[in-house]
Amino acid sequence: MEEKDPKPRVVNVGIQAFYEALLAQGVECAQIQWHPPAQQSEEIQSLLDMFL
Amino acid sequence: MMDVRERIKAANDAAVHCIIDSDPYWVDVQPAGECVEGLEDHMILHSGPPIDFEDMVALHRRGMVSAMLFEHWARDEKEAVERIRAGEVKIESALDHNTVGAGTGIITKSVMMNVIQDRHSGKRACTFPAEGPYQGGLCGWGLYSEEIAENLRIMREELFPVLREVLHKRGGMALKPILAEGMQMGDENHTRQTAADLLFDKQILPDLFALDRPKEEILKVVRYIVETPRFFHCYGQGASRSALMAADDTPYSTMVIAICGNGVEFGIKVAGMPGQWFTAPAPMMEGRYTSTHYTKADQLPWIGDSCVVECAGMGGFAAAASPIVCNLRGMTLKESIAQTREMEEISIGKNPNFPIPNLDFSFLPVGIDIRLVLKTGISPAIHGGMFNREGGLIGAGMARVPMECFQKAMKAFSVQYAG
Amino acid sequence: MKRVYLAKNRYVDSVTLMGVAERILGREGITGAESGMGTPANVELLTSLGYRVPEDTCRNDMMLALDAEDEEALEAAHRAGMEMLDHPGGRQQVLRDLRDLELGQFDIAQISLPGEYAAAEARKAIELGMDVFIFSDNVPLSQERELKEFGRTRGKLVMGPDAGVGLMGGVALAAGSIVRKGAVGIVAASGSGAQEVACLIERLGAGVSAIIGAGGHDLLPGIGGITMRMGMERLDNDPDTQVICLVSKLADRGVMAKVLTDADRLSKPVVAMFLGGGEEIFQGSRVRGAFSLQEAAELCCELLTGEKRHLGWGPDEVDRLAEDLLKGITPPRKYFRGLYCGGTFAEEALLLFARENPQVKLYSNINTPYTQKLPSHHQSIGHTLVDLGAEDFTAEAPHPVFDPSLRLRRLERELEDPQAAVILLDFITGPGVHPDPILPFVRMVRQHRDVIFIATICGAQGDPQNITQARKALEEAGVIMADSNQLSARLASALMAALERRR
Repeated sequence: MEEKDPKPRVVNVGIQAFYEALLAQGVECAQIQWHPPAQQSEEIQSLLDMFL
Repeated sequence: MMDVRERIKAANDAAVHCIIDSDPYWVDVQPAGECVEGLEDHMILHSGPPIDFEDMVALHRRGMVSAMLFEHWARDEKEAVERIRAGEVKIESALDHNTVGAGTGIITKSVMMNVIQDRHSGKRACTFPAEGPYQGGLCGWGLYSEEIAENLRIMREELFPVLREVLHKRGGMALKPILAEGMQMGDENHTRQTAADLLFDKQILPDLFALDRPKEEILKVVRYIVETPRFFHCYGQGASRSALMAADDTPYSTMVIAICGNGVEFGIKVAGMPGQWFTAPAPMMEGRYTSTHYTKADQLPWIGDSCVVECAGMGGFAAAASPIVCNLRGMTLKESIAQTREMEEISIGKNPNFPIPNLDFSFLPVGIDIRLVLKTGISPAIHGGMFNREGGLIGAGMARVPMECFQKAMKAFSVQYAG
Repeated sequence: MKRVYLAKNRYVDSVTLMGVAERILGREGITGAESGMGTPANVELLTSLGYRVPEDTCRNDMMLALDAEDEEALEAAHRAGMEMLDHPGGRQQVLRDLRDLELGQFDIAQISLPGEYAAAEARKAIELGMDVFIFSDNVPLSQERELKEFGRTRGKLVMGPDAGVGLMGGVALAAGSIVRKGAVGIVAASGSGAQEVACLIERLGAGVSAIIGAGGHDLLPGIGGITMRMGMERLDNDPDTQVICLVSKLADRGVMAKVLTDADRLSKPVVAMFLGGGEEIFQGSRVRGAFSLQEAAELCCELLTGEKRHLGWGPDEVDRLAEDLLKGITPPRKYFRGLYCGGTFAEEALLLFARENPQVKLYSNINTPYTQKLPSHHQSIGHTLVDLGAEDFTAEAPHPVFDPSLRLRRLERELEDPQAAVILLDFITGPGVHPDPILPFVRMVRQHRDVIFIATICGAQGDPQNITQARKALEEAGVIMADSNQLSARLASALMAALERRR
């Protein structure tokens, strides 16, 4: 199923338990500490789009 | 042609490295008039963003009066207030000079200050030393009395000359190793510096005893050092402030270089917009009171400049290093670590000088980026002490910087850099 | 040759420095390694060891003193030492945004965010060159379609949304099991369905190359089976896959027809199970139709090995077992209670009950033409089958595979009912679900020998929950272990019919 590599590398976005399950399987993995986007005004959001 | 985002990234890298590469040394003890730049005669500095006398909370107004009496610019309270109202003294923010005003931050030309120099950039920051048995005393709590005046005199005439001699003999005292090692021993260097105090003692005691001075003289100094609670507090402030001063005025940088409150307003300053304040109503801290007598009704909104420490990646950012401090707010070890991890999300980088055992020796986050604060909605967690309206520390806790400060800063940034 | 490297103004504690020095000493070509802060004492020590310490060394500088065979070894060891100091410990890699990653840094993004945010993150992941696996549900259909079309243009699989199970390159995703590697590749629009087929394949002695979860909506006309079809193609091109198995509930006729047309173009044999569908679906196609999860697994193994193998009890055995078991059941006990956590298991059982015992009135929390709707999903009436993973339950509490406590409490309630005669429980294991889903039930079951318990374990030998031991514990507590969901439903059906005959 996968290319030459034995195990796919997985990045987890969300539930911590799923990240831990990847670690337990010895998978090369990372966790994205996701937060819902802050509720900013449209003005601030457009500034962030410009500068970030 | 670099796009603006690239410029910001480069500027932030430079700014955060001012903190990371800083090399703070305690080099001297001098009257504020000699070491605080721009401090004129008949000028009083205070904590927090600029504010008029009439708008100040009682603590600050009392501090203004105390300063007038201390400097003999007035004979009594009534005269002091008259002269202030008549505009005979200039009143400015401590953070608009090379100082930090912890608590009420009352600084005038005759106040003795510890001078901390960042040997990497050459910048010097001045912080007032703790007033021994008087807790906040004049500078921290804006109090003045015969006893306090006498204590200040003793410090100035009997204690500091001895310390100056030690400093000059050893060529200053390096502060970063103490901060770093302290944070591996449970300090966060804002509300807790117990380990730092001991590490400082270890350094200075042999030097004190080696002086060719009478035992009683040396013992007075030793007593002052070891008996004053939170003695090392002002050194962490000075180390932070001098590094942040080096970062100040880095064009395009979105790094926060000051956070402070005056009991009415909270203000931040940003490296890429020197001299500008971005303010919002000061928040109330959440935490634990020292006695069940106290409630929120007694508590003053944030007052003090000591959040420079968070700007430099310690204090609330070092929660993972200090679960004991967090435990005062009912937090567990995991939650303390999570607080530091949360701060990572709004920080420009990590400080390799501060590896922390509870983080598996990963480094503390450093450099608050206003853009990341707005993007994530996560505001910096500031540790500090809670003040009574009458003065006096009534507890310790944590507050978040109001989002409004960052919104204002972002808008000002776009005006300055987009057009 | 000896050299002292300085890191100016860099504080590191002595214990860490000692560790770094020790690790460097183990490197090839290194004969000496010392590390310390530039204090006078340390400088003296290094000097006495024959190192030349730079003159501008101060106490705040970190010194790394190395003795090596040649220049190359020195430089390499220095780099390694600095690398150790700059990137300490931390097996855990926690980042703040997918955009912090580099193109090609990871192969798969496993996304379990609230539905409204999942598609945006999935898109970022596809742009970074990853396949995505989306566990999240409540992703708007239009977003799912856009995402799958975008993924298709980039050659990336979008598994899910609402994908509960995956197995890619031997790595179990979400609630999947670590199934033995083998030659059957599964593409499924049903999580527990794929799980069951995969675990049965393992039980039959074969193995699974991959489980590609297409998600619960992939076969809707609005999506058109994009992922199922892409998944099949991938498996067809995969050298490790020899047989392809499609698993789904009954879906839109047009989409199923498209899927089967594509399947006919593949080079490898295909087995397909559309739960609830009949033989007419497969008319004109070379795809082998299976009509239960167990049958799908058995067919795949037959295609692989040429041998027909069946699991567990034959039909006569089931009837005899039912009669035997009922000897121990006395009135007022007369009702069946099925407490399911696998949605497809519940459905497969219901279909079987409807087929074999259409006259038996069955209550359920799920809406089907052959069941009565329970007025309250928390209260059983007569013969009842509940899917505890259905929305009415999961709106109030976590899905039972992640948190067994709701089902434990339900079991308690059933055991207080003097009319409960047969209780059925399905168990699911895997690295991503609750670490101990079975043993808490054993304790409760052990005390009630007056009720017939039937159970299945949908899991693999490679799962951390040790299914062999769990099975044994259940058997010792008096539970009848069925080898598949189909068999457990058959037994429950036979028991229900017999109980009804008694009245």
